[in-house]
Amino acid sequence: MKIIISIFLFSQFLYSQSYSIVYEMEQTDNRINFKTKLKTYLDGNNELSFYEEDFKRSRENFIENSDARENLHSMTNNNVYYKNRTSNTILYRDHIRFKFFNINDSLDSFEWKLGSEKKTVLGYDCQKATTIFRGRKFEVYFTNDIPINDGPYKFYGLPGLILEVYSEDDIATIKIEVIQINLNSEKQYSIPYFDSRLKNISYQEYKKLYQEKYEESLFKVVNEKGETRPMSKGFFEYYVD
Amino acid sequence: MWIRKVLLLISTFFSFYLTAQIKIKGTVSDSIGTVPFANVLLKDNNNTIKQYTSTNERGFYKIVLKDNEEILFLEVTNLTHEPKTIPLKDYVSKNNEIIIDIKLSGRVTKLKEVIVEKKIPIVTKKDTLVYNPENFKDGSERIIEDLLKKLPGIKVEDNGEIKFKGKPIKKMLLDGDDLFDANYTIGSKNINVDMIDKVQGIEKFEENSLLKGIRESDEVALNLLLKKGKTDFSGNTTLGYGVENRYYGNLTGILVNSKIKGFGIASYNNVGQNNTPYDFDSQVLSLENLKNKNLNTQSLINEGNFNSEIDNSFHRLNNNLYSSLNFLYKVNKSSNLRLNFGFYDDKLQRINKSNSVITLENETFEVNETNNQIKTPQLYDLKAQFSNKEKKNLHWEYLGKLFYNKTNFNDSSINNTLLQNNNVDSENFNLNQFINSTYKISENKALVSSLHHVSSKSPQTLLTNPGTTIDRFNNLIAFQQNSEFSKDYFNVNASYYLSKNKFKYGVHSSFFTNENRLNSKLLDESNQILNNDFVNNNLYKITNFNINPVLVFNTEKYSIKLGINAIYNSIYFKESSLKEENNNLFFTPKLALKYRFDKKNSTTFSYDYNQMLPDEDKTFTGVVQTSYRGFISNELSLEYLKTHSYSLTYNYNDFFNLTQLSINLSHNYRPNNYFYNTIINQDITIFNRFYGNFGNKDYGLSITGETYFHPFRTTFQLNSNFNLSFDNNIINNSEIREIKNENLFLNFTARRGIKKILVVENKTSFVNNNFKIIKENLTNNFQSLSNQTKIIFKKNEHLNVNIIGNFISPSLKENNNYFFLESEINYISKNKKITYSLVGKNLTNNKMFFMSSVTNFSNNRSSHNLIERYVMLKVTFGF
Repeated sequence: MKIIISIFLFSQFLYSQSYSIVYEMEQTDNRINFKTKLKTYLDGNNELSFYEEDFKRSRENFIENSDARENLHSMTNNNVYYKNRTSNTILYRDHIRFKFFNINDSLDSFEWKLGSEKKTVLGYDCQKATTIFRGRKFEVYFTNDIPINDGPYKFYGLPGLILEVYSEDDIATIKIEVIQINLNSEKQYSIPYFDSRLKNISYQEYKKLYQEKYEESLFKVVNEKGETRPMSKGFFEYYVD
Repeated sequence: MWIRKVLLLISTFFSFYLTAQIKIKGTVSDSIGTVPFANVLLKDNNNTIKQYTSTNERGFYKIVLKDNEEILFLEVTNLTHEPKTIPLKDYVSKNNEIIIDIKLSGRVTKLKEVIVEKKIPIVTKKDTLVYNPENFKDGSERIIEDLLKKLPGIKVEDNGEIKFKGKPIKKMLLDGDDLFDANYTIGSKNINVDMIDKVQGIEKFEENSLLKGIRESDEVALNLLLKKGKTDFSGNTTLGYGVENRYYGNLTGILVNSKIKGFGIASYNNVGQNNTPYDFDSQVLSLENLKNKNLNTQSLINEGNFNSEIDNSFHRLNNNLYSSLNFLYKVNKSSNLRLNFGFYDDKLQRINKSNSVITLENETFEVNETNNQIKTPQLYDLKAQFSNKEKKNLHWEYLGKLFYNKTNFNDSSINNTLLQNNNVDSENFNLNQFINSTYKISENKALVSSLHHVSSKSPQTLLTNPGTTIDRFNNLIAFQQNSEFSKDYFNVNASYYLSKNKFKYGVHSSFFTNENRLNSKLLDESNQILNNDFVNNNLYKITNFNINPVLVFNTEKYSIKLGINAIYNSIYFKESSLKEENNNLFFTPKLALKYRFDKKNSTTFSYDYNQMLPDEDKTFTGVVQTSYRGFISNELSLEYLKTHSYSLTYNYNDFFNLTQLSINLSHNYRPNNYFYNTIINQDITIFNRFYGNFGNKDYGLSITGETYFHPFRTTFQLNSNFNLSFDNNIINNSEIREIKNENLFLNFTARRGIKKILVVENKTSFVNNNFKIIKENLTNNFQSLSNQTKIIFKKNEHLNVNIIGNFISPSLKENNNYFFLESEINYISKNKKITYSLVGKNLTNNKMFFMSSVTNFSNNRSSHNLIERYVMLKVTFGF
């Protein structure tokens, strides 16, 4: 009897152990001094999670309303990072000069270095960790009190939920801060919509293609004065050294 | 306590003694089985995590302890279970391994949540893109135009017109203030690039801030943000001297503080350059005049031919002094007073020679002309604007423009064998006043009303000595032609705008009166009017009332714009005893559709129908002499000129493969139009325009494209245009000649960078012109070819050299070819403050340029003189 009850209780936990986190992201393109502020959403359970950056709303000058969030993985043009622990992959969509691809990346891409600084975020005790991910240095604060190995963007693998991310260099300044944590959400999940018309490639293939197009942009002379306009080497991640 | 300390000592001793590292491993399980993907942490006594790992699918973990005596605790956490902390001192290593198996119990305490969010307002300006000049400069830029050319999305045309995302900008603002109005080239061609902090590109630009979001706006604009804290007054100057007697001087200054913004320029040159907003070579005086064509009086008497198919810098013999002062004063928090003053003085010289062979059905003859022309225009341009934006929902402004131009044109002409001295004195006055107010009724409704008045006149006098013989038998010899157009225009306008979801509605109603008068008379030697055929004293008045509702609908895939204009015109024309009056009511529709197939492909279609009354230059019936051998008159007709215009465009934009293509098909059909009846003989040409109720139409195809081919490292560009038009005319009492004209223009460019220090560009142009007189089976053909090669050598940031060679074959049938060579060496000093330039122009010293052209009844050969070879040294520095 006891065993049956505990199984029942345990399976209840399995179903309801999903989380729904809301972050606020501020991204500044330091080359043209263009700031974008938007909300991002991390929803998931132990097996998979979805991170959505709501650029669409940020462009529509949306005035804050906490109930008006659209359904998860709706057919907006927002980018969604789909992390799957079993297959150890991150699936998302990105473009090179406006040609879009479905990209398959690996969850093992992070080498975290733990720091000793601590701070409190939204009442949680957090510890600092840093990593250099594809040419960019990130500083994050994660909390052991929420033992979820997830975080914003592609970040994965720390022993606690990442509540804050910060990175700054000549190209961009990125700040992501948590504003809402819901740990008892009852959502059911399905694979997000990935446009089948787009090509599916691995991250390595994407990087190689990006480097080819970057090469091209170094040589194309755009005007009569002989000037070229090279592509950027990357933004969040650097594809060219 | 002390036991702990001793144990600590022993464990450090161990770890120090042993070279191998200690491994901790084990299995995590709960009452049901193993627990996969649980976090296993190693912490110090400050609760700081030092190392971590996680259990695999079977609940098993292992971790190698890095030599760190601070690690004291092992903690296991996951979502579904209570966390468990185990002090490491309870364990002893065996063979450098410590096995710790952990039993977890189900989570009882709920994890803390934070559901109430921080309310942070999101503010993003989605229609504005901000550029940081520092990221795009390479040090060779001096004026803003140089910088703007480098910013992605911004293009500067040859005449200074600036385009943002493919559209011409409406305004160029300074810190949000409109200092220059339509003549922004004053700023872009002169302001020093060092004054600029940021450049903003604005889409859906609405000058009237109250109408933003309510009125559909497709306009774009640029806003230059000035550096704060920089000196209040700065500027730069360029001085140049060349052999022989070539001068170039330019001085610009800008003054900025919280109350006043001022910008001034003064320039002088005699090397053919024109950095002013005015162009006396062409029919259109300035970009501003182009926009307000029908608000200025016309001038019938010809003021010289200074055109050429080659660039200004080769043939424009000038002596130009130009000055412009612009001030913007902040009267109150939201009210501005703006004053602009411009002064222009020039002396243009040119010697033209031409030979025309006229071939008609029954005759052939030649006309030879030589012209020694000197034109001295002088211009004053004053503008005052006051705008009041103090009230939140009501803005108003007043704009007054006063323009005065005085020109003297002198031509010593030889018409076949007759030598004449021709002198034209002309003036142009224009007073233009405009008051406008905007009332914002609500978030999505607004009402705009305005009053506009223009008063203008352009008196001209032509003196020919000896006079031109019109008719020897009747002793009609023309000595002096006086001609003056005057105009009085008044307009009241009210527009209502409404915006709802994806729709934008606008209803425009307006009333205007346009009164035009032409007073002209042709006098003989004794100052008497020749006869009544050569006099005009007319009044042509149009009173108009119209209502124009317009609807715009936009979605991501398509846009539709629909408009219909209900127009009521009352026309009154009086010429001595002739009087005509007419009242009409009619409708003109407009339709534009745009469909976006996907991100790369889109297509647009537009149709509009227009019904226009003839302009005042087509309603005078008395003959007016326009030059020593030209005369013009019209047959009066107040019929509406109807035009149906169709246009279909396809756009392909593949940024990924750096390829763009645009194909446009257009067709204009005019069921009725004005046609020329020309009487031409060796001595004089008389043009008579008449109204014909027969059609005239044209078809156009244009293809422009660009692509980058990486294996060749070359960009290729194609610009091509084919035009087929059908026209009619009458020459020397012939029957109506139906003319078919085919015109082809092809331009192909290839551009390539070599090892980053050399850039080579080659442009080839080809023109083919065919005329065919359908009934007579006469054809006429003309072809010309030109090729320009440009080589730029960029040694480093400080030194660059360019060489441009132009090969021109103005007419392929003749063996007359030209080669023009020019070069420029620029050196920028180490501190980037001074630039030295050595310029060499027309190095092959071409003195005359011959060209050919054809019309539907003649073959023409002409030539003009050029600016002779010179070398000039220029120095530019800032202050």
